[in-house]
Amino acid sequence: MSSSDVRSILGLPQAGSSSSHAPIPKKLNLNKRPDGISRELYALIGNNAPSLAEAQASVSAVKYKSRPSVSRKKAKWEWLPFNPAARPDRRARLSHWVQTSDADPEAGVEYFGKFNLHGPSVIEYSQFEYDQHLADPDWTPHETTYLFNLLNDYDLRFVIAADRYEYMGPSGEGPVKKRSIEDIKDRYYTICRRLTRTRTATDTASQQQMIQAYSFDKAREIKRKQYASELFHLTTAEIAEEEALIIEVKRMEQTAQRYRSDRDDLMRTVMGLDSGLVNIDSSNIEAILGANKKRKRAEEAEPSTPVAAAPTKRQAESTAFDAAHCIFRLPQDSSSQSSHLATKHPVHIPAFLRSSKLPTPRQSAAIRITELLGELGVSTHALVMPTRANLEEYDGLLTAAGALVDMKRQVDRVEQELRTLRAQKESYVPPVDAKRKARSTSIASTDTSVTGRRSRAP
Amino acid sequence: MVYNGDEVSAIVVDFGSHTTRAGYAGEDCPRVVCPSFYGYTEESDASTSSGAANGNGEDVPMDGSVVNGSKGKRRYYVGESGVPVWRKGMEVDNFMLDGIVHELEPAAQLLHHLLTDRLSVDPTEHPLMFTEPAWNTPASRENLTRMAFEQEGVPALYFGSSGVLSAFAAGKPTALVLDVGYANTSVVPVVDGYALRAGTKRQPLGSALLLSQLQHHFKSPTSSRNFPLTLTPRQLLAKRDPTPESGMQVNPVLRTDRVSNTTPSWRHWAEGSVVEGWKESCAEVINYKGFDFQTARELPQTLYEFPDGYQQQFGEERYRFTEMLFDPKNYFDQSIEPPAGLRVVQSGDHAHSLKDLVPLSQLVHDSIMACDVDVRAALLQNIVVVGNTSLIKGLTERLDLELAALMPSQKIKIHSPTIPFEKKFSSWVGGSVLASLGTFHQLWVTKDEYEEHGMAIVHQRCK
Repeated sequence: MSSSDVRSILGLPQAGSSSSHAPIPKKLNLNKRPDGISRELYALIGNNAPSLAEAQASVSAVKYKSRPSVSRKKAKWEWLPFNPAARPDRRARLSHWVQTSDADPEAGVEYFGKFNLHGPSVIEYSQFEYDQHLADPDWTPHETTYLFNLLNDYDLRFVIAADRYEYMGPSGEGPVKKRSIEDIKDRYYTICRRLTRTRTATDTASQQQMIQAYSFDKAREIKRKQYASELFHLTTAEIAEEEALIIEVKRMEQTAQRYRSDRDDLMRTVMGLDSGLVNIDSSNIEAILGANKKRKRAEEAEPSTPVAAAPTKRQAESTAFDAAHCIFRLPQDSSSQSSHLATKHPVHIPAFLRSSKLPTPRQSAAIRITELLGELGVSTHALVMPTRANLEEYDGLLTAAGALVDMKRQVDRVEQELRTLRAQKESYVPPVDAKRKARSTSIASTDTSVTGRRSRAP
Repeated sequence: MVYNGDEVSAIVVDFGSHTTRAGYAGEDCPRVVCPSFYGYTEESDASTSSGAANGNGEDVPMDGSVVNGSKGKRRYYVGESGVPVWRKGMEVDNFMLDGIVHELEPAAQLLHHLLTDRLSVDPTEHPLMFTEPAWNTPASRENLTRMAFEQEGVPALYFGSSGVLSAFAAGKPTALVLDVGYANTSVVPVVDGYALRAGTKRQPLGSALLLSQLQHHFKSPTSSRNFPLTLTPRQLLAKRDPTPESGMQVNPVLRTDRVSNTTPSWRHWAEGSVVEGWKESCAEVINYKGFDFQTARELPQTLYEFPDGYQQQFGEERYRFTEMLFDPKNYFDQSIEPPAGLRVVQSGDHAHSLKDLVPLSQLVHDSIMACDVDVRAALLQNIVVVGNTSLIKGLTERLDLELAALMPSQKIKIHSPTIPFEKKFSSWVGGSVLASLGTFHQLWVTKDEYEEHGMAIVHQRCK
């Protein structure tokens, strides 16, 4: 807060306009005071007025939401006996607090009853089905029943069912028989598959799908677990070795690839088409196939060969053909055939998508140009009809946009420079010579630059 | 209903080897924590009055906690003012054995005392949840069931497996719960809220063994201390040595009237509590490497003063004995008589006896290896460490270190509650959470169901 503000608040007359700073604060004070802020407050917060306070003041007209009118009725709670939802037939033995103002005191019980869910239902079979399809020498019907009860109890959690599996024979007296998870899963899924096969014979597709869903390969599963458990006991050294191996393999792959591509390049340069690089990589395959096709078509229609040394008598014919098929031929570039190898053997041009040849905006101003094109409604990455004419247009547009962006940038820079200089000029106070001389040594560099520019500016 | 709680004002009682916890379900810590030790006096003379039984205990609080168990001519003293209060000729025992309620009579008395005297509730109005170790026997379960339904007349009952409850307290349905407790150290793999029997491992390497080793150490002269410590408990002290010097023998004034009438078992128990105080304030585990005598001198020292006034800067003892948890081969002295109760654990698939104790990390490893390969990763990333002894500073870090060395290829994550009582009473806290849930209602075994089906329904429901 400057002294003039204090004076203004206290109602004192302005001090004599001794300083040359006076005009600038005045100008600042001319900024319009927003509504809802008292003059004194505004003077206190001054030029660095917090935007939040201003913003709040400007929206002071906003009506605050009135308090919701809640009826302060007392909720009545009662300690009532209830039946857990899972067992509604039982005599009530548990009690809990219920809000008796609620319509239904049983609502809570029902709500929790919804959670009394069981997991995926275990498939069921009849005795007849068992006799027909499910007999297994390794499993007695009694043990199968035991297994299914267990799976039912633990909602098909095989890990837990296998853990609790303690079959003690039909009499319940025999020695405890444990079974592995794989045994249990195999038995269960085999039964599922067989039952599905016999039951839903009408829709074969869904039947196959179901059988697929129940597929279980016991041997493979055992193998998998064996591998997994071997991996479990890797030592630090083994882990390090494994990592090193992976890195090594990657490096070797990269080297091989580089070597191959180098060799291909060399072959292509040295021998051209005769190199026979048909099965090297996909781009080559396309290139060669494309070339063959072109040649074939050329033979059919008997147009001029693309080689520059085409017989002149066919010239007229070929132009007619080109015109008919909208083919535009670029004039042969003689510079590309400077190599003596290339003159003998046409250089490979791998096949490519025409869209990849779409001109792209310059890297330096890409964002600006893209924005600009966006405003114009032109897509930068796909042309609907990339004909030659359109492409030329598009190229022109890009160049023009680039030029425009450049120009804009330059204009901005110049304007910015102008503004700074103007501001400097306004705040320029003619220096007192003695003072200036004393200081100039210390801040020589900045001063010289300022003065130098100023001399140029007007 | 947001948190799906629906109180049926259940009571959770957690019988532990060292303390028994009881409180209302839905609260965050138990209301009553009292020792599982009980005192008894042989009442050969039925006419002995209650006052005489308390001997010269003029400063003994005589509240209602002294429960008269005249059956078998034994008078039981349970609860907070049971064992900790000195009584003439009182013997001390523990009704827990191997984590299982072993002696029914004192347990029943304690339960009654907890429910009616300490919580002051009418047991017939409150469903009761017991915790049980994963290796609980059907017989013990049956006894507790009978105790709850027939003696206390609770309306409903449930047994929660303490490993599962600890996992729930940590908010995990799948976890490997390592409980370093008083009598036992146990590892219980919990998958989807079920404790796996195959991976459950335990060994009697808990603070009971640690304390017995420490007690022997203090009661015998060492290289730096040429006299044994008396470890006199405060109940036997009239006045402690006023100006004790560090490391010097002390001569407190004893209550001679009491000393002569003290039974050896009470004395042993009381000395154990004195050592326990030392253990809880001084014992630490070196958390970045194993203990060795070469570097033991450089370990930080701490001053501790025993109740009788003896004080000393303790250094390597703080670390040497706890090392037993991680290296029982070298730091567990078999020549020292271990507590009798720990001998009952026999070696088997699920337990190690005192003869073949294994390090904590090995126990965890063995448990993991006994589980199916598909659940191992999930268990290793949810190791929950609980139990009072796990409060020893540095234990979790050290365990992490050792497990990483045992299984370098695995990602291991140890979760340990930071609040001490959540570690000490984790199974109670889990029971409290579970019993206050609205969705839990259907699991209660009600009294009429029990009357109709007998024990079968309990075994079926509490699986």
